Amino acid sequence: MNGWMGKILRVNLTSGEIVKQPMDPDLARNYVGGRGLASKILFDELELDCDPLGPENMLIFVNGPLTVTGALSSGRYMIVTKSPLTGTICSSNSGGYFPAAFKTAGYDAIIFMGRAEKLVYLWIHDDNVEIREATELKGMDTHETVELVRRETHKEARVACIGPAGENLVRYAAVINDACRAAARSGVGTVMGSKNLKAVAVRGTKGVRVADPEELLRSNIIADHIKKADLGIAFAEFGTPLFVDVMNANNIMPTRNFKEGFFHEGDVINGAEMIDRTLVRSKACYGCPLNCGRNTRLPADAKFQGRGDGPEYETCFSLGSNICVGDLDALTKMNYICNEVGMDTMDAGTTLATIMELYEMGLITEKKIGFPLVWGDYDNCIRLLYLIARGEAFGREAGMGGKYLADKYGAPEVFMGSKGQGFAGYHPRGMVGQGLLYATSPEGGNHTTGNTIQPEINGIPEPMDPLTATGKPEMVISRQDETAFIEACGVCVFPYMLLEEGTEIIAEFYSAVVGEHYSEDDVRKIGERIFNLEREFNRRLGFTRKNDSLPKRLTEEPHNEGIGEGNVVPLEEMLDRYYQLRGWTGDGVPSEEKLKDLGII
Amino acid sequence: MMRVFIKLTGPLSKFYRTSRSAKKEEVLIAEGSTVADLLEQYDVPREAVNLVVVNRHRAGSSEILQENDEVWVIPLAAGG
Repeated sequence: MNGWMGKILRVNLTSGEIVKQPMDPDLARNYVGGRGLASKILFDELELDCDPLGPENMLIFVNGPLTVTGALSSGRYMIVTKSPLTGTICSSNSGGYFPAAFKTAGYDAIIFMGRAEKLVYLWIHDDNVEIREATELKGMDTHETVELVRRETHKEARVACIGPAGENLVRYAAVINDACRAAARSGVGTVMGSKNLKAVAVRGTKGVRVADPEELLRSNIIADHIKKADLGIAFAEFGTPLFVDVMNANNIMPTRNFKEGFFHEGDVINGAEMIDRTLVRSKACYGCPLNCGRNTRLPADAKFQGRGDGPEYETCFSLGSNICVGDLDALTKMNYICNEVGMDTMDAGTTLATIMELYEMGLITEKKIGFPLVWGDYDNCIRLLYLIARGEAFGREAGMGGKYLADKYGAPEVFMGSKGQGFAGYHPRGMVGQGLLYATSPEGGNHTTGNTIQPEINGIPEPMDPLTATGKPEMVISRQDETAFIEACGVCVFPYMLLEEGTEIIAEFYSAVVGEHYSEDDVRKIGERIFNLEREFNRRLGFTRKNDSLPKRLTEEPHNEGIGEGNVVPLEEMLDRYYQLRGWTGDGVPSEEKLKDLGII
Repeated sequence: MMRVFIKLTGPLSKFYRTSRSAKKEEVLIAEGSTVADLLEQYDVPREAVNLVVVNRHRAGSSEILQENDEVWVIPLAAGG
């Protein structure tokens, strides 16, 4: 098969059985790969109401037909499973170099089922696949794990693993690959921990067959164009933390648990400050011209020490502005800790923000936590992050996430997320389309299912008022469907979402790889199929309009002073139109006609 | 003349007069100057600017500046 390796690996961790299964061409044609392919497998095979942390849940590592083909930014993979944080289907996406190794070992997907009796890791060297005991890795952080697994396997093996947070079932544990890249969201690392699977190590040496390699050479021209464009230059120089300034200027940098959209200390946690203080070099994932990654080191005069990657913009928000930490050294240290213990920086931050607000309200006491936790107290945040990862003392409860804590301590309204997952760093009161996106994302408060920044903030392709509902349902649907297809291809959304003609380009690359013509409309239709399948998965578990919700802070409390002052998110109005355009009922249920039209049932 | 403050973010920081690491600069301009006048004084090309915010409110290029105004100049940026 052009693009696909044509093989799926099934690993039963209970029995130790490993089966290589040929890829079904119809499945590939209809659901492509990545998030699409894996969601379809889950939809067909999973007992939907299973316990996400039980052996019956499935954990799927998956790349896409464009991964490692020479298509622009083609170094991504996803982990798809039923989330222990939200109870929904989820897909968590990561870059680095692990995805390329995974695909060139000869597999489109690895499906883990069951639960190993003892801690194990999987070692894949092309056709040789073995489950190895990993009890000596117990409790090791992600950096130590990579080192030890490489020593036992191959010095150039690429490793994706969990840290203590995953082993201790912190509900927002991440899978970290290449030591610093994270499939962070939705608790995919928690599911891995529940299966007693510590790591997946891969060495791949095979090639990927492509129908029209010459067409893919266009990637180089586009890459060159991106590198020379203002946006590309900014990305390489400042990375995603450039966004601190942009979000602050637009009054949408979530601050103090989303009470505000402006962080007065933005200047000390932004991309420019990182260049001055912590940046060692910028770095790229496999096959990407953007270089948006940050390799950093805390300087000798810093209160904390360490070296690693980041923080990315989302962490500048979640462990910076949203908990009022205006200190780059502390923020960087917390980011390192999360990467080392294997924890999502975003839901870790949401959890800290929830606790801080509950503490301020007097609903959680110093006695309960073991120490005070006021806004900006990064020393105690660091103490708590370690307790969470180890599952010790109050950390055990905090590891259940912000929603759990807000419900338990009697103030559900202070949890800033949707379906149990914390929001990303874009305040919906100042860009209401993002609010609709959070509410309708199949995996909860997540920005990666179709970020609305280009249209709402940059006015691309056309200017639109970020503060009103006009045009938002149409725009969000289009972003969601396009993103679903891009992710199914196994490439990074960044360049394709940045370029005005991104959808056209991805359709052309996909056509060139598989050797059949696909138009923009064709790929949007595939994206729509994937999105509706995920919706129907959740619907069968009881998720409907009532779950497409936002906290009252966003829909009733007026926005603070500055751009958008007084605004709220007109969610219900947007949802009515959104469902109608989607062909769903007023309760948010995909109609039978729609599901049949898309070939889902 | 009057005093205003200019903040040039991200890649636009190369147009600072003192240092690229400046957080903002204080500048003296003629009374009645507009946003466009200020950007011209700083040689900031118009196409590199996506948004100008004056005292935390969106401003057009013809907006007339007042003493002590704080002007943020934002380039095109995306990601997250």
